Amino acid sequence: MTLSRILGAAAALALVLPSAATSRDRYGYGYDHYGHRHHDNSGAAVGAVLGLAILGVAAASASKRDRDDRRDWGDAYSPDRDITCYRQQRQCFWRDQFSPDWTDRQFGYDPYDRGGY
Amino acid sequence: MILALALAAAAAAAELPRADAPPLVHMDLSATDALKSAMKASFDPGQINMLKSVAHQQAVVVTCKGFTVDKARFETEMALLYDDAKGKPKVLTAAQRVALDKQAALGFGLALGAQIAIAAYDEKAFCASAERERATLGFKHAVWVKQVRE
Repeated sequence: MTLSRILGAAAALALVLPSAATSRDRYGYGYDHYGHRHHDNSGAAVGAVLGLAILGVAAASASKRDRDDRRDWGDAYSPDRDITCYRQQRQCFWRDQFSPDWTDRQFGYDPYDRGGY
Repeated sequence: MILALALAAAAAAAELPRADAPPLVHMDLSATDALKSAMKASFDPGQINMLKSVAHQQAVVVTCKGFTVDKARFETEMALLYDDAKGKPKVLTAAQRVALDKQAALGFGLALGAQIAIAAYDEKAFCASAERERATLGFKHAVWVKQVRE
């Protein structure tokens, strides 16, 4: 089930990512290397497989009883009910699920000065 | 100003006792760590944060019913990868542009694969969380189409 979803998502990326890249031409780059509709989606597919592999390792370590690796991600705090935020990782979770909303609220990046934190 | 308010809010929040992260959080943070390591040479922290957020939302679309990505919003967000830290378009050669495209695809794929795997751990909870997030849609990098009330 999961593999088929990933393959489906990778196929969707073949359509979406070049569009994202060419959209920049509207802002004045003046060239478009996708002009001939060349779609190279291999990076996304490799990335998806890597993502799965990483999760496999993480899940294994999380469930291992006598683990020798750490699941201590540093200081955490709760800015609201059911929300947990990790300072060093700058990520927030709602009932253990990643929350883009709370991550943005707590650690939002200024889109015009993204590297300044 | 915004940063000061965020820091003040964080300071007022309740500190949690130091403890191992729950399995799902550990999985997510491990994948995020890997994403940061793989992308830091090409993108800044804000861009990597955007990649994860957008990939997470795409994972919701392929996992949960009733979610759709707004193509224009998606394109706008992904175009941030071609800006410098001040929000100005980078001046790139064709070869540099191709290299950046490949890094973007790799990073997006990595984050997407990880988020889909996380979703599979508990789809019901994953989708419930997404429904809650969509109710606001006020966060940066939101690419979902707003829910149509029936």
